[in-house]
Order: sequence, then structure tokens, then C-alpha cells
Amino acid sequence: MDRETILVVEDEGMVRRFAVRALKEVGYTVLEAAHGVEAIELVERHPGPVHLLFTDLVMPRVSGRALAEALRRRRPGIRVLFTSGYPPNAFSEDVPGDHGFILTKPYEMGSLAQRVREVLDHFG
Amino acid sequence: MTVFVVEESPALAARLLERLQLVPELAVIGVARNVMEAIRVIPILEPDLVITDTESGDGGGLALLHVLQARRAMACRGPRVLLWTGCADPQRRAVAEGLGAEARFDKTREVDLLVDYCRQAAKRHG
Repeated sequence: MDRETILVVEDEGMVRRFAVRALKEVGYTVLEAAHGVEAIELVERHPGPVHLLFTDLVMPRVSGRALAEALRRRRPGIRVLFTSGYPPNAFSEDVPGDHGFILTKPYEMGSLAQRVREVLDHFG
Repeated sequence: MTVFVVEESPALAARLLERLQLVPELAVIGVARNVMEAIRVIPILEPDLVITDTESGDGGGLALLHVLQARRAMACRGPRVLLWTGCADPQRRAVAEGLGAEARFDKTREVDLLVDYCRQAAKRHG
């Protein structure tokens, strides 16, 4: 069975590599970018579907929310899972309840894989 | 109101972002380090306002204004543009205004004025 394609966007290299490895180990196709500009360019070039965006909320070049909104316009149907080191209630304005889920850092590989699956399955 | 900043100096960008992020009516959604990056990304992010310099390091500051003007002409919409620049050349300024830049602020002395202008623009934006 072909697994979905996940785009991981995270400016901290070690965290990004951890997430990419975790998702590849459970069979996803993983694209990665260190910041939102790179993510946008990657998606523009990628010929296949991108099923889920996993992105840090607070990043230096493009905010996670702005990235998610931009990619939703380009790739309708893309699901979004945000991550942050801040507690979820710190982002009530940034993460509208109907359009985003959050995974708080630090997270374990299993938690990431589970949460990604939940988001993918939630939207069917 | 969403804002996109084009600034090659990380220190200057950080200084401006720090001030802009204190304004609740503004949301800085992106920062490009050069004009080519901005040209690729601005059409996708669709900010309401772009703050840029005509004197970017890669020489393309006016090129960005050309691109944004062309998009406004084609799509009947596009971001407002403010100049934040150290360039005092009146001819260059006139060209930039002709390409749609609505105001200019001096990088060394007028960051407060720029931020206040953005605040007022955001309030009118609603």
C-alpha cells in the first residue's frame, strides 16, 4: 500500500532529522524543508500529492500558520499538524480549532507517528 | 493585516520584526533575504503589505516592485508596498513611487514612523 507523503518543516536541524526519520520508519514518503520559503518552493516543484504538512508554528522566515494557509490554497485538502515548544493554549489565535492540530515538543517517535495518522484519518 | 518583509541584513530584519510584532493589528507572515526569494514567495503567501528596500544586495529591489505592479495589473489585487531604505536618490525614489510604493522610510532614523504607518494602515484595513 502506498503511504502518504508528509512535508516536514522545522528550522532546528536535529529536530527535523528526528521527525523525518520517525516518519520514514513507519513507511511515509517524507519531504523536508528547513524553513517556509524552502517548503513553498519544494511543494511548487513536487509533482505528486502532499497529504500532510507537519510544521513548527514559530519559525524565523515564514510563520507556520502563514505557511499552512498558503499551502492550503495551493494544495486544497492538505492536512496540517503543527508543532511547538509552547503549550497549546499559547496559540489560541494561531491555530483555529477546525483547521489545525498541535503536537507539543518534545515528542517521541511513536507520538509523532500516532498523531500524524490521527490527522490523516480525521479528514478522511 | 499581514506583512511580508524583504531585508538582506538579518540584524535589520530582526530589529524591524521585533517592532512590528508588538503591534497587535499586524501579523508578520514572512521574511525574505533577497529579492529573488521574495518574488517566488510573495505571490504564494499573499501578504497585505510588503516592506522592502530598492537597494537590496542583489540589485533587484526595483525588480520586485515591477513584479508586484504587474501582478496588480493582471489580478486587480496585490500587496501595498512600503520602502524601508537607506537610498536617498530622488530619481530612484520617483521610480519606486511610479511602481506603486506608497511611502518611504529611512532605515537609520524612521523605523518608528514606519511601524506607526503600518499600525494606522492595519486599523484602516479592518
